[in-house]
Amino acid sequence: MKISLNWLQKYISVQSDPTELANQLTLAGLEVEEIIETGDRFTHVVIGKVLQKEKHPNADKLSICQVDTGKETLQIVCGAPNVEKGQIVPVAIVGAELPGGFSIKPVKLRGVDSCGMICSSRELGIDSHHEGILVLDESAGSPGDPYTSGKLSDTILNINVTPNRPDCLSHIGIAREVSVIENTSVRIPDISIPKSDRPASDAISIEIKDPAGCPRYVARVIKNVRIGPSPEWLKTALESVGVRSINNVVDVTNFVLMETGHPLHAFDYQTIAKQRIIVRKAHKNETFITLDDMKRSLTEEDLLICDGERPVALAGIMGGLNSEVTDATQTILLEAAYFDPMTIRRTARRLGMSTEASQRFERGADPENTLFAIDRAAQLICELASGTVLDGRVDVYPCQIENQVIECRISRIAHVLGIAIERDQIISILNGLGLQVQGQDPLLVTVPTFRPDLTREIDLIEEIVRHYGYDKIPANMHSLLSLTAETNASYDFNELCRDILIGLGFMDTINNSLVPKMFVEFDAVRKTPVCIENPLSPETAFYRNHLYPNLLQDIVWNRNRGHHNLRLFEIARIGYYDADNVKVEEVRLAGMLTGQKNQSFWGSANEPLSFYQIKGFVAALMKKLNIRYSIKPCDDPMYLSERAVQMMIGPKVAGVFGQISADMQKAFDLDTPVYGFDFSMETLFENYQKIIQFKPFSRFPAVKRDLALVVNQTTHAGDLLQAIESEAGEYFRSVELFDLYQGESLPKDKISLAFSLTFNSDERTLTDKDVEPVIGRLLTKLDREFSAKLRT
Amino acid sequence: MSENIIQTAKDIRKEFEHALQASHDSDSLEQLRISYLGRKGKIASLFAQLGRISPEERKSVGQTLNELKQDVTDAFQKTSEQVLSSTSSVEYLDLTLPGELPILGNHHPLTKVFREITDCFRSMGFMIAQGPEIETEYYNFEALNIPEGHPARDMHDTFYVDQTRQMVMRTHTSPVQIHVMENQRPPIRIIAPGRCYRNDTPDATHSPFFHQVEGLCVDENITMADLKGVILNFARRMFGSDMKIRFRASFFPFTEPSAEYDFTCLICRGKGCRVCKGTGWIEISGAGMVNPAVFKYVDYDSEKYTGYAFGMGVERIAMLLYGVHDIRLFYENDIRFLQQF
Repeated sequence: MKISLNWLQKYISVQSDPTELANQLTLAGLEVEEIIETGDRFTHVVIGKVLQKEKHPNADKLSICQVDTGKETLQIVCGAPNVEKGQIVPVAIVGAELPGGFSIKPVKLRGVDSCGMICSSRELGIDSHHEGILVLDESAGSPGDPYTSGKLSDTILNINVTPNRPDCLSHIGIAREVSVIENTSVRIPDISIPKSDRPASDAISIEIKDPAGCPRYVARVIKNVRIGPSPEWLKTALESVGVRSINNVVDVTNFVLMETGHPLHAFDYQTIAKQRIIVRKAHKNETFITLDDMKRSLTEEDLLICDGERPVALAGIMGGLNSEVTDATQTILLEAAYFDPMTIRRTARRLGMSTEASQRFERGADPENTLFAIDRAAQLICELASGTVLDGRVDVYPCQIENQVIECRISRIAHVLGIAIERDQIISILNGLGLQVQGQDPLLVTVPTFRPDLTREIDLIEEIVRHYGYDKIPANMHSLLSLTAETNASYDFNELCRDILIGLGFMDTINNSLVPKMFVEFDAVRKTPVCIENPLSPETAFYRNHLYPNLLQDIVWNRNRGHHNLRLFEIARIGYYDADNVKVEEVRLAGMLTGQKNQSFWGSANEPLSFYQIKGFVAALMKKLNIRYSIKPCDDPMYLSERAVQMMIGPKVAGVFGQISADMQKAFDLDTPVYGFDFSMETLFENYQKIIQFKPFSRFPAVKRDLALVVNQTTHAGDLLQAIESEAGEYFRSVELFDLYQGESLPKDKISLAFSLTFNSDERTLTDKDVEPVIGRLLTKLDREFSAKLRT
Repeated sequence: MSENIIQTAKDIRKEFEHALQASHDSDSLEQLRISYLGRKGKIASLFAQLGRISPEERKSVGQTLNELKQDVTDAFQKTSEQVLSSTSSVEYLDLTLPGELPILGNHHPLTKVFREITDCFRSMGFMIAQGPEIETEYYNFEALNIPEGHPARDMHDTFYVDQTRQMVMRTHTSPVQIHVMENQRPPIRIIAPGRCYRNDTPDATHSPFFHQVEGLCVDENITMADLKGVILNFARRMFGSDMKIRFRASFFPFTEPSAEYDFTCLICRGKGCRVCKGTGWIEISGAGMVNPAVFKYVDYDSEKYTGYAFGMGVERIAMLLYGVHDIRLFYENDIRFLQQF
């Protein structure tokens, strides 16, 4: 909402300077987003005449002008497309100060001297037009005369009015707030309307068929109106708040809207059939052409203003083309109504219309304000368009809206705010806002209808503290803590995993959860994607069902910028519909690696990553988390076949890791192999033992035995390891596979796997006698089960 | 005679010390050894003079010469060991060659800010709560006193997920308040970090996907002064003890009274600069006392209990803290960006 301080002065004598006023309004909840200074706020601007214009040699859009400024001819480089030889223009000469603190000095523009500036009206702060320089006519004066725009200087406050304050979408509403801030009073303009010989009720009858949608409808009739341009003061006032002047009658309705906050509508009375106004709901499939020449399809929830035959306005939103005030209009039917906010809102939303009127009605207009607004408009139309106002208003008010009375306990104010406020001050603030206060304690507060937002005690407490000042509430730095606050173990677990992966050299990433369709299709069979119904773009039309596609995108992004060795991970939620069409959200941990094993280093050759690196990282993560798991080869469309394994924790699949499928690599145009892991954080967390049980280790030295076993190439090392673990007896402690050999000294289909076994006892130092029988048993078993022979 | 010898011994000692200091390689050390400790060296020639002095003095002078010989031998030994160990026996290494760098992981800047915020509030007794990102309209709006058709819904540009099930992408972390209050009775003191979504066209300061931290405290006798205390304490811990806070009246349907809160500008520390548009303050986010209408939805007695709630944008704090000027950098995961934190 734009508020003109010149305009505001009609209702209140503002004491503070604009910056201070803006600050005070902001603190009171009426945030001033912008202070705009308008009018002549410049010095050293003179009339000039463009004598010559030629193209700038080094810039297409610039011209070099020779401008007569009376005393001297100045060379000025001008960027406006509309500058022409012979024009009379305002010129800011060296030393000029323009609005916004812009000062003019001699400069070189692309190598050409420029001594001044030919101004646009925006640069002079006259208005916001910026389609080139301001071209004056001869009457403006001769070169060298000082230039004035003739406009009064004004300050416009652009206020962000919160949706609970429809009353502040007006100058009088803001004046009321200022009056509390400055402790002064508001002057409401007096209205006097000359008597006429005929009552308005002879000229119009009103019927409300939907009193819930339209609790009040007030009309006046003004005849013998002469439609014409508005006087300067009215044009200036409207322009200052961003409203275009149309004609005197329309301008008056807009002026009263901006003054009182109450939307009015003026009909051409001659177009109103049968001298009747009927307020009713639209019929199914009814259509209506609004003022902007758009055909609107209506439903039974839309409210229409109709005459004796047809709709003439879409209630509270926009008038109809069929009853518009034109230059030929002689008699005006003025409407001031109060419509149900929800009804207006629903229609405005469905039709995608937002007008000055609908914004106010949907937030809640003031049913009482209808009378003042319509009288004020009638008076002004009478004055400015020489109309004759028919006697009286036609006022149909089937659903009386009463002032509310709210009890407010003085003790409760301190209970909520933490500071006691003097009773006198409370009453003074409430009175200033237009609220009547009676009673001792509780206070009985009567709320006028222009404050539909105040319905409860807490609403009044907010009003009081808003003007008492939030800054006067102390900051209480002491508190008695409840000691029962629990920790959130699963959140902490997520952070633990994050730290471990970062320690392993992975980058913590955060990706947008809203992704294009392509991203959710990879896993769409198992996880039906969640679709956004009103996406910003197809790029963000789905909620992701897997973390991989984003990570692949990150790899592409970095690869395109020359970074090929990447280890990335993300811990985040995914969502999908499961097989029973139930929405599921779960936190996943996914990581990816690609490129070389190590940072490049002059001292050693680098090798590309393989499956065993990702397997190692998974092992490291699980070791740090102290979670035991096993792996099971699996088929998974996200991975290359025979390059994927499930990570099993007990019988539960905690996730999968392996080499990313060719399809996915291709979809992201990635040639270098990418390895990924994707785990359920919930499953990991369930199996995470935060409390660690210490296991004592032996004081005696361990005995090591190395076994190199020759087996068939197809024998699984994992099976051998498992067999060793199960058969190696009570002193067995661990086994490590330390070499894999395949080559000339072995038959073609054979490999040699070398294991290092560790034995130890808690009671004594072991001897060969203890270990040899175990080794013998082991070899027999391995020979029997795997045809494994000791390598000789 | 004996005095002459003792004086010469002193001179030789001094001379040797200088010479030793100047010897840095094995050749010059060998020279030194020959000229002092050699069979025809300076010390040997002093010993040779012993025979010419009286037997009474010989004992003490001999002792002096022995000390000299011993000290010179020790000093020589020590220095030559040092010289040898630093040169000949060890392979040459260019110590300026770069070391082998392990691949380094890093926390995302938003993770870092999340942790600073959560650590700060945890130390004030808040616990962490979380909720779903795909929410029902009930939790995202209605139970927060934003009923269907309320103009405040316009303040949230909402992504709708499933109209028939009335599901939305949560537009704020405030729904977590409702989940927590439904499952727990006061005292409540939680913060809820998480992702939110709004149908905002992306630019340098807006993203349709962003992060918030929500705070909620409900108990008997909780006042707005407590809210200000918690926010002030947070500001000081996070940005320094000189921080001041400013509350401005505002409107949120789920709090009343509502406020926007500002901190002393982090750039100019309150003097006024371009970032704070000369005001000395920077807007952080919204806060207020829990609206009794919200308590009604979770069946709390608003006569007995009062509470406060606050929110903050994590990206905004990270941008201020690290001088990041484009919010989109947080989601590109460019490692040139990530490596810096």
